[in-house]
Amino acid sequence: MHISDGVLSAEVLIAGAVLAAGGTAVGLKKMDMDQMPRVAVMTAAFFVASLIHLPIGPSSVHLLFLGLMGLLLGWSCFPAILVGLLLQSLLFQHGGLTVLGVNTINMALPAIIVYLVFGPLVRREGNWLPLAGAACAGAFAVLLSSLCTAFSLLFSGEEFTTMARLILIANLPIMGIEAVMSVFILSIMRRVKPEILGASLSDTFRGGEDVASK
Amino acid sequence: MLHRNRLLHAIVTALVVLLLSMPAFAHKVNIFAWVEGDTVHTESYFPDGRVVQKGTVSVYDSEDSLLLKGVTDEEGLFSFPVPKGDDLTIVLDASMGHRATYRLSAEELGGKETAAAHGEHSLQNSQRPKDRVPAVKILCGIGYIMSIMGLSMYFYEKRKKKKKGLGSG
Repeated sequence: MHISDGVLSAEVLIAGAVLAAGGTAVGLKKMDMDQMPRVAVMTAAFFVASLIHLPIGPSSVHLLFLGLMGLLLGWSCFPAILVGLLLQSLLFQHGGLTVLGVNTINMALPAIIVYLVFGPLVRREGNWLPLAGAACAGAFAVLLSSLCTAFSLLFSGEEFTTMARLILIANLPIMGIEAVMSVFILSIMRRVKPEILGASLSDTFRGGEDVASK
Repeated sequence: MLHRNRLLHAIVTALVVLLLSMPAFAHKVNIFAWVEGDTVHTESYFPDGRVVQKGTVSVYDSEDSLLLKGVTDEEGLFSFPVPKGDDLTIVLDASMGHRATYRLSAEELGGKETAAAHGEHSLQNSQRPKDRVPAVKILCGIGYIMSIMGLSMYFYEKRKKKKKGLGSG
């Protein structure tokens, strides 16, 4: 998912930077200082995840933790992913500084989408629905991120369908692993610290509460 | 708040320990070129040692004009005759947004040094260098993240106190 420097055209880079700045602003605005340690810990997890490579499939791929980032952080995943990608590009030369915006969008947007779509399912009562939601979030985040990456490469002369197929096939094992991992981690959290999931629930509705209290 | 994050801390600590104990590779492609007589050989590979198949290799001169283009074979190799005695920039496009460059200077392209250089390079070639990410860099990145957290919390608290002070005074 990490696009290198010099691949994309200036228009795509600027569009990505503007969108990423917007998303980060929203994320920071919605973030409560109380959530800061959690955001930082998840950023650290995201930062190291890209070093775990899987020697499966036709290409070289690595873990992303996108579904978990979305489910646990909500909108805060924007600043988290931005910082993680910045450090990855500075320390590991993974990705690049000029593509930071585009890469942030390609990863944070899918995380937010799965948070909005599967988040309510994950916070439901019951045994099977939340776990199914977690599995879907893990898999779909990687799927959407692959499509976003293919879409950004669309403007640099690569054909969308071929590129999308290539990236998707390369990331199929990651989809499976992230689905299993999301189920695993969320089922532990539900049993041990259910308020972690509840807390990210409350900040979706906080805007509504504010309006009501006024 | 503190104990709410204890589980997350435990998970991340476990991850970091796991990472430090296994080889960590940055996810980027590499291209490496050497000269043998009148031919320039290139080899392209991912940091974990896998070769880049069907990657596009483009060769530019010092004025950035494209001299030639080619595709890497099943072993990640692509060779071409020396196009001209200029500084060459060799760019590898490994699709999916991966890209790497290698610079060959004009001196490397001709003259006696090539033979010696070749000996060196083919040795390197057989033991393809893997880019391991040193554990220090991983810890360094985590340190940065924690410092950003600490600083923002510090300034937030300071501002909150200041506001409170102004309110009561």
